[in-house]
Amino acid sequence: MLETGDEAEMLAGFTSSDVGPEAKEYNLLRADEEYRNGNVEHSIYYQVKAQFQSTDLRYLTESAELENQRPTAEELIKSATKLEKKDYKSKKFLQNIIKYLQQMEQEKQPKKPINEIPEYLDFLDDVQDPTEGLTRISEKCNSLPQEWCVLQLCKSFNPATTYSVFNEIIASDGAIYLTLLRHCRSSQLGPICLKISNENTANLFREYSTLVERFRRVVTVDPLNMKGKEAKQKYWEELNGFDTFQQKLLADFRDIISPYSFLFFGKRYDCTVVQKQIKATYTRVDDFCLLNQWGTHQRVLLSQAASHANRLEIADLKLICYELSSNENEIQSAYELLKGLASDWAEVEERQPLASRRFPIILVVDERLDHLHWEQLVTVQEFSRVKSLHCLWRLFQNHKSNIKHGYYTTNIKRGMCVINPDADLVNSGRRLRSFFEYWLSQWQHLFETVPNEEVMVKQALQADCFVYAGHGSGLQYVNGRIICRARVRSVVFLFGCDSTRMLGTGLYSALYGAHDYYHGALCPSIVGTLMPALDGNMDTVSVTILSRWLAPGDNKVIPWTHIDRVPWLKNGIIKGKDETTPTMNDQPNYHLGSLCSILSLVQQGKVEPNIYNCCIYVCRGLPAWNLAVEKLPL
Amino acid sequence: MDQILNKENTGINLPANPIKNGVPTNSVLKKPLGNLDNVMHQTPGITPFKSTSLKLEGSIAKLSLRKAPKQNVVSRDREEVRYKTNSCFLGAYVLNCEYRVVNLFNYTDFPNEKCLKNCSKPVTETWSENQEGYEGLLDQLYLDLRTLENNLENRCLPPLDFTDLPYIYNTENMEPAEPEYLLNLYPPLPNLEGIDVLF
Repeated sequence: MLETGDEAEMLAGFTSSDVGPEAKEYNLLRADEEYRNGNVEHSIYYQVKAQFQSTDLRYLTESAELENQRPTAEELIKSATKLEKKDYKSKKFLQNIIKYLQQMEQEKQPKKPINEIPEYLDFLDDVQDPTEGLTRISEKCNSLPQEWCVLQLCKSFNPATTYSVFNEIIASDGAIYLTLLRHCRSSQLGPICLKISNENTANLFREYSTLVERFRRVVTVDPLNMKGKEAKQKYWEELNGFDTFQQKLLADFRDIISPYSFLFFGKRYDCTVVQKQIKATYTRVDDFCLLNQWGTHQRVLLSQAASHANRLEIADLKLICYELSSNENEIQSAYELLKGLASDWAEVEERQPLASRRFPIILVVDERLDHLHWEQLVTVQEFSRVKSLHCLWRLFQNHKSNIKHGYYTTNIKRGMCVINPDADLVNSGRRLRSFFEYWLSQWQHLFETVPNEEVMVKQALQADCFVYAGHGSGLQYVNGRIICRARVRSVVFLFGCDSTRMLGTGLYSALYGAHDYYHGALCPSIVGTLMPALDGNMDTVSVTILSRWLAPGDNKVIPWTHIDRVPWLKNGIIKGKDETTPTMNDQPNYHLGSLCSILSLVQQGKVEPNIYNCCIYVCRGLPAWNLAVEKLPL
Repeated sequence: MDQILNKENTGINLPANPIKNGVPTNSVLKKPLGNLDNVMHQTPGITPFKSTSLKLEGSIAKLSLRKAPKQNVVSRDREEVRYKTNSCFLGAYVLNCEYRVVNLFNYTDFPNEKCLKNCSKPVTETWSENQEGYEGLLDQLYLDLRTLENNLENRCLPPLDFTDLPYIYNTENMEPAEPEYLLNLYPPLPNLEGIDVLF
C-alpha cells in the first residue's frame, strides 16, 4: 500500500541518524567528510549534532511532563477508522485493552497535557540543512553571556571501533576537532574549527585509556599485608612510578595541543582600560589581516593570541605564527605584532590588576574525550564542562535570571551533607565529620547514615548546597531516575572515586555519569572527580574547596589555612598551629566567590602537589559564584 | 602577619590578593604606536596584491609546510609550567598553606572489593521498571493473559457505543480509493470509414 501525501511528508522528516547511538557515528562520519571536502562550517554543524543524542531526552525533568501526553482511551476510540471499528467488535482482546485503559484512567487524577515541547530541548530537531543548522547554532551561541568563550572538543570518526566497547573506543586513534563556538570576536565572526592530528595522538589515547586501571592497581592493597617496612616502601615506589607516568602523559598531552593552547584562555575581566586596549588590539589585528589578505579563520586565531600575548612565552608566540602562515614575511610580521601587544598588555595589567583576571571558559567535551585532563592545559584559567551545547543552552535558559557577568550567582546560607553513609571509611569519616561540625555547624549533617530517597530529593537537593563524601557518586543510595525527574536547586559536590566519570552501559552505547541525572534535574553546577583518589588527599582538597567557598557558621572559628594539618589528618583534631592563631573575624579576604577559580588553585597543585591528586577535580555545568562570601568585582 | 610563600612564588614578593589589597601603580608613558609601519619598511621584498600573497576569504589554516623547531624536553618538572602564571590573578594567589608531606599510609581507608565494584559500576538503565500506563498492562499480559481476559469481562464499565461519538478525523477521505486497472492489450484501431483514400 502506498502512503498518502500527508503521511509521505511526515515520514520524510525522520532520518535514521536521529535515533540511538548510531546517530553519533553517522554525525561524526559526516563531520569528517565535510571537513575533508573543505566545508568546515558544515562539519561544525555535524559535530554539534553528534554531541547530543535523542536518548538524552530521557534524563530531562521535562520528560516526565511529556509522558503525560499519551492519548486517552476515548481519543483512541474517536480516531478509529471504519475497519478498526469492525475489528473492535469482533476482537475481544482489543476490547479488554480499551477497558483496562479506561479503568486506569479513572483511578488516577488526569493531568493537563502540555501542548508544546520546550524549544530548547533539541534546538536542531527540525533542521536538516547544515547551513541552516550552523545559523541556528550561531544564534544560540551569540545569545549566551558575552563573557563566555565556548570551546567544543570532539573526537573524529574511527570505523575500526564503530561497534566496540567503550574501552576500545577511547583507546583508538583519532583526530581532535577543536571548535570555537563562541570566541573573542563572535559579535562579528562566526565559529571556526581546527583539526589536531599528529603521530603522537595514537599513543596518547592508548595510554590514557589505561590510566585509571593503573592507579587502581597501585592503590589496591590489603592493609593486613602491609605491616612490614619493605612492603610500604614498595607501595610508595609504585605510587611514585605512577606519578612519573602521569606527568609524562600530561606533558605529551600538552605537547600535542601546544600550538593551540592559547585558545584555552578566557576573556579578560571587563573595565574601561581593558575595553580600550581590546579595541586597539583588534584594530591592529584587522589592519594586519587586511594587509596580508588573511581570512576569518586566521583573524580569529590572531585576535585570540593578541588578546593574551603577555601570557605566552616567546617560543609559543613563534609556534602560533608558524601555524598561522607559511609565508616567511608574514610570520615575522605577525610575531612582531604579537610581541608589541604583549608589552601593551603587560603595561595594562600593571595599571589595572583586574585585567589579569579572566572569565570562565565553557568546555563542550565529547564523551570520548571526557577522561582527558583539559583543565591542565592552562591551569590558571577557570573552566566548566558540559556534555553538549544543548545541555549548556538548556541550563542557561533555566538559570539566566541568576547569571551575572557569566557567573551563576547564588547565596549559600544553609546546606546539607551526607558523609560516609556506609560507615566503612573510618579515617575519612572522622576527618570530615570534625570539619563539618566545626566549619558548617549550621548545616544539616548526616554522618554514617544511609539516606533514603525521600530525604535526598526533598531535603538534600533542595538546599543551597549539597555535599556527598563517600564511595563513588552516591547513586547507589538513590535511583538516578528519581533525581532527574525532580528539580535540583543545590550546587552539588560529589567527593568520591569516579564521582563524575563517564561510564558505558554496553556496546558503543552513549556514556553517562552521575552529573547527567543532576543536569537533567536542572542542577546548576556539580563538582566531581574524573578518577579515583586516596581518601586522605581527597579530604584535604574537599575541605580546602569548601572552606574557601562557604562561609563558616561562626566567625570565631580558626581559618582553615591556620589549622594544624597533621592532628586533623591523623585524628580529626582541629586546633591552631600556634598560640597567636587568628579567627575568621581577622580574615576579611579569606574567601573566593568563584568556585571555578578555587578549582584552578587545585589544578595548579597549590592544595595537593602530586599530579594524581590535583588534576582530577572538574566543575560541570554553569560557573558558580557565591555572593554570600564575595561580591562580584565588576 | 607574615606571608608564607609557596614554591611557585619563591623569590617573588607579591601581595596575597592583588585585586583587593593592591593599589594601582602610576601609569607609565605608553610606547609609541606605528610598529606596523616600521615593519613594512624594514621587511624586504614585501609587495601587496601580488598573486602569491592573495588568499581566499575563509581559508583554512593548513598544517605548516615548515616544521617549527620543537623544544626538546627530556623531563618536565611539576613547577615548569608553560605559561607565565606568577603575574596573573590565580597564578599569584597564595593559599597560605605551608605544605608538608604527611605519610598517611596508616590513616588511609584503602579500597576494598565492595568499593571497587561500586565505584566503577556502570550506570544501570532503569527506564523499563515501574512505569505507568501501558507498561502496567504489559506486565499483566506477561504474567497471565487468560486471567486478565476473564477478570476484565466481569467488571462493570460504561458501554462502548461508536455511533454516539463524533469523529475526530474525516475518516472517509483517509481510506484510499481502490485503483481500477484496465488491462487493454490492444490499442484502439483508427476509424478509417470517414477517410477517402485515393488509389
